[in-house]
Amino acid sequence: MKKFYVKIGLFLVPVLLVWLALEVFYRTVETNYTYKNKALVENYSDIEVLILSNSQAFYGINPNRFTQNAFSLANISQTLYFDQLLLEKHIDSLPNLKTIILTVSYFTLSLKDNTGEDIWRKYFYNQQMDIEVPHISFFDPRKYSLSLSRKLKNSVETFHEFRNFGTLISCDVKGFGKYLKPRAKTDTEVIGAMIAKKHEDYSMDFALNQNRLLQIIERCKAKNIKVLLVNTPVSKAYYKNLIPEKVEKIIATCNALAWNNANVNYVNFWNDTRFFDADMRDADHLTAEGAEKLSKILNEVLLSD
Amino acid sequence: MLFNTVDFAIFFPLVLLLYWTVFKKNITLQNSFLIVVSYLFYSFWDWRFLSLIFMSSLLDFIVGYYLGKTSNNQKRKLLLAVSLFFNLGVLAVFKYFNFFVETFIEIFALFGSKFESTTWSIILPVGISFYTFQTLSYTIDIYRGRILPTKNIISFFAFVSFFPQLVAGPIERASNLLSQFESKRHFDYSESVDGLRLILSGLFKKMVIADNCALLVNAIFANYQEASGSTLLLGAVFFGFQIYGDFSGYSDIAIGTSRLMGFRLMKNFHFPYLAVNVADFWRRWHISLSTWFRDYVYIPLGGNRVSKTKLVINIFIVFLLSGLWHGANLTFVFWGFIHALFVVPVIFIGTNNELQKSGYLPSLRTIFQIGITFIIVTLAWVFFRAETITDALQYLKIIFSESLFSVPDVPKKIVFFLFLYMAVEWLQRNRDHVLDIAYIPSKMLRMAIYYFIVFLTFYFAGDLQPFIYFQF
Repeated sequence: MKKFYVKIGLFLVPVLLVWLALEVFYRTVETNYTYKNKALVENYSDIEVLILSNSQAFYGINPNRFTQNAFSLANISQTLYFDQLLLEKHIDSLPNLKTIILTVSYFTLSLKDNTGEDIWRKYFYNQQMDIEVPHISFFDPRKYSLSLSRKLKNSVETFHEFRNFGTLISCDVKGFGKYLKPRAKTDTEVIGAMIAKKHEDYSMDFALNQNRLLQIIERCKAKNIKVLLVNTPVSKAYYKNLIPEKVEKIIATCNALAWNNANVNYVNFWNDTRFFDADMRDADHLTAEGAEKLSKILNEVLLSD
Repeated sequence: MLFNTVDFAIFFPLVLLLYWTVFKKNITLQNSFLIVVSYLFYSFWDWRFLSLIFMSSLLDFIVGYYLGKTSNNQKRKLLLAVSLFFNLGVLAVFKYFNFFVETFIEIFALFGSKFESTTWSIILPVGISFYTFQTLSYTIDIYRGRILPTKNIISFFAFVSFFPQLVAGPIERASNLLSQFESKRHFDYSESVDGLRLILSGLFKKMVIADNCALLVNAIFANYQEASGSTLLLGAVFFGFQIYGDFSGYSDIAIGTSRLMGFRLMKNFHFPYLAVNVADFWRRWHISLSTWFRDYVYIPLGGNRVSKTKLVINIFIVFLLSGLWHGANLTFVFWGFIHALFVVPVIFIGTNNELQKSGYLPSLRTIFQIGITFIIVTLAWVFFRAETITDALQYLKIIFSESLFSVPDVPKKIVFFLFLYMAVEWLQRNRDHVLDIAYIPSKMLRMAIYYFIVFLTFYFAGDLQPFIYFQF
């Protein structure tokens, strides 16, 4: 028995060393989560416009192009679930906050909680942005070990990314996303269809996220904060591969929210003639120039409101 | 709690440590400890259904006890009926109620009668089909005089709830497992090492093969109308590997963890995709279920010692019931029907051969037999995976269209990888399991293989998917 335990222990030493090395890596290297969290807290009193949501906002809305002091708390694959948690955590510490911007992507309203990338990202929000995530149980070991929350392959890729770029932070001081990797050369038609398919969940059930949006709106209303809902531009190929009924329902939902709540404004750029495929980096993300164009338009919307 | 999670990686070593240290000296204490941890293990899914396991255990213990006390035939029949009524009743309510209601309404609708559909939203308790069949085998075996009832309620409760095989089998027999709960377990070094090998191979099958195939299968089956015949054919192949990796992986881990605690569970899989005909497939696939149906349905119906017509009927009854056991959907019944259809000729023509045992390379005849069986089993899986029979037929219709000869839209490297895996299974076909490498004399080589598989398992793990057989 003793021999068995000793041999098992020895066999597991290399495995444990890999785990330990990855844990140290995740605990010491700054990420977008730690960086944005720190920058937000340091600028609490200055922020007037807070940008939330996913990569479409992270890369597509540039806070530097706003007249008011803006900050982007958007992040890759950030869902409305985390937008709400982040807002709840920080809203009382933002005395000058006048507007929050939320992008409503094709999948935002039908997305189910605790699926997709949320399965591992939730631990990073918990550990690196210091927010209590109800989906994480106290007994969940990954709450205490970030390396356990990710697959080895992804951890190795993240480590390579760090070695290649010298950092895991891919945003500027205002939280605006920078592309670290060069643009992939792919057929826009193919990539548009592929990403549309990837984003399709065949669900028209918006109840959960619509309710969440309403809660955010009510919370902002109570603090006299405006909410700007945005459908950021997407490529023509992407748009034509979406289910038209679902697109209509998303637009109708956003319109209804804006119509029924005085503090909500809604702008839709999905089929906007001011944006071309040249403004797009891929199917649903703007280039830096495209982001500049969109941000200026949004700034005008805020100023005219 | 899933076997392939960090939670289990913490839970099991702790259980094992306490099992062999604190509770080692007293067998009753050790069994009581196993009951507690098994109930805890189950409660990670839904603690409310612990009451079902408890009631099933208690009732069958009492029935078994009184069956042993009385020799009155009438009373014995009544006692057995109580056990059958309760266990099958629980299954009928929790698993089949809605299915039967809907099927009856559809049948009556064919004759012009209309009924209001009143189906309930019933949660299916995890593992219900496994533990009810296990406890049923206990009372049936006592009734038949094959085993004596246990007088030890702790052993019996531990036998029913034993956590490694509670939710997805293997479906054990009291004659094999209950007796192990009643005698002192000893730590066996080589058994434990083999247990670890089984756990490692099980994790590999589940995390690498099943979970990676699952992503492709979900995508292909969700949009099968738009895919080519060749893509759909590979989709069915991927599903075959998904369900194999998933279920046999679970069984390997269950058997491996049990060995570490000094128990020997029955074998549940033996290289099923190397089967040379469909009857052979059923000697290798979900062995604990197929032998259960053989012993408790097929043989009582007369087995092979009946007329040819009766034999055909018996085979169909067994396979249709086996299909229904998997789920409350006609697709499963149809899946069983297809298997019966291909088992009957094997038994009648007498081509019920076994796999070639010697040689590194298979003969052309063996390749042909394995290939044909694999194609039949793969096409039958379409019914198992599809939502409805119409979907399955539509899926098959696209497979057998012109587009079957187009280039499939799937990652080629996965096809290559699965082929490679099957080659390893072929080389290991005479061994106990795919990672049974104790015969390799070089310790260094064995260690290198273990580390290589650990690396592959962690590095190429797919997204965590629930075990398919939990739903049964």
